Amino acid sequence: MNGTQFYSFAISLAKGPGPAEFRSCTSRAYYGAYHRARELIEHYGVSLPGGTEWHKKVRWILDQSNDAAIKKASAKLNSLRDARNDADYQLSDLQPENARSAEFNLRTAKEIIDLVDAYIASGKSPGRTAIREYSKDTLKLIVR
Amino acid sequence: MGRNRLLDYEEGGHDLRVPLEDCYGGAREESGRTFVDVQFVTNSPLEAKARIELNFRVAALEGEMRQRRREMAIQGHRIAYLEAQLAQKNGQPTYAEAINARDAIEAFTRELFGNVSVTERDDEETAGDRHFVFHVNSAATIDDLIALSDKWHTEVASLPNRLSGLFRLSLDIAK
Repeated sequence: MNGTQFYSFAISLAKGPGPAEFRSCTSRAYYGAYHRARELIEHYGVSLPGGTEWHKKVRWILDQSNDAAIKKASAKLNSLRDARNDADYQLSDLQPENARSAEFNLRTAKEIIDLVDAYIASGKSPGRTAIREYSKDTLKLIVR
Repeated sequence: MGRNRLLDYEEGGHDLRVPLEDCYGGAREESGRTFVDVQFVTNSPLEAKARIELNFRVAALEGEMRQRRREMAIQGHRIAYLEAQLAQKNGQPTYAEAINARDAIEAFTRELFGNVSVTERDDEETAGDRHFVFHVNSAATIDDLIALSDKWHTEVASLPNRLSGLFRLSLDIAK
């Protein structure tokens, strides 16, 4: 199981037809992007613990990458996080039940996933040094 | 002590100013001594005494208030300095930095989408994840919204690391 599988499931939910599918599409799209972002950090040799606080800290790590594209992906992951929270918690808010909203969030998740895929495939490891240093020195994580 | 000056009181509405060496403020320096003006003239020593004592109390209260305000101002500067130092050490923004950046991003968002409202929000699951959300309404196509969103996030990502995580975009997309 990896983040991309959550994203694939989100694609199937984007067809609807009801509010539960559209809300779940956004939620799964976020988790697909979040786990793929974690996979980039782990690809750079950082061991990430689980737990809710790591949603925030994964974004902190990405922000410290000194790579403009990774920082932008982190900013998009931030916004997608709020969309996911709306979808899962704000049941009186009808925006997450909008098919176009679900499609937008799905595409945002895909942008993040595509970036991670491209960076891992490139073998050049952009942002690797900064991510490892911040993870080790500031967050006191195990770095291989 | 200022009250001893009451013994020097003279009939006929003479100068009733009293020295206030023991008061902080509400007074002024004159010929090397500190005075406060007593705003009345009376021929009654008892009334003079009562009013001077009242004036002493008011002057002392005013003086203490001014002193406390000065102390608060000094403490305020110190707190701001400590906040800035701590924020720098923790890689976090100061309050002033966050507000200035919020205003700039709000203006940018309005320019980009034509409308915006800003709210503060705490993450439902992650403690201490308070941030600003920029809500915009749009009836644009998904392709256009993706392009606009990309511009918005490019702008936010260009902020210093300690600030960029504070801002989120929330689109209210027309059906």
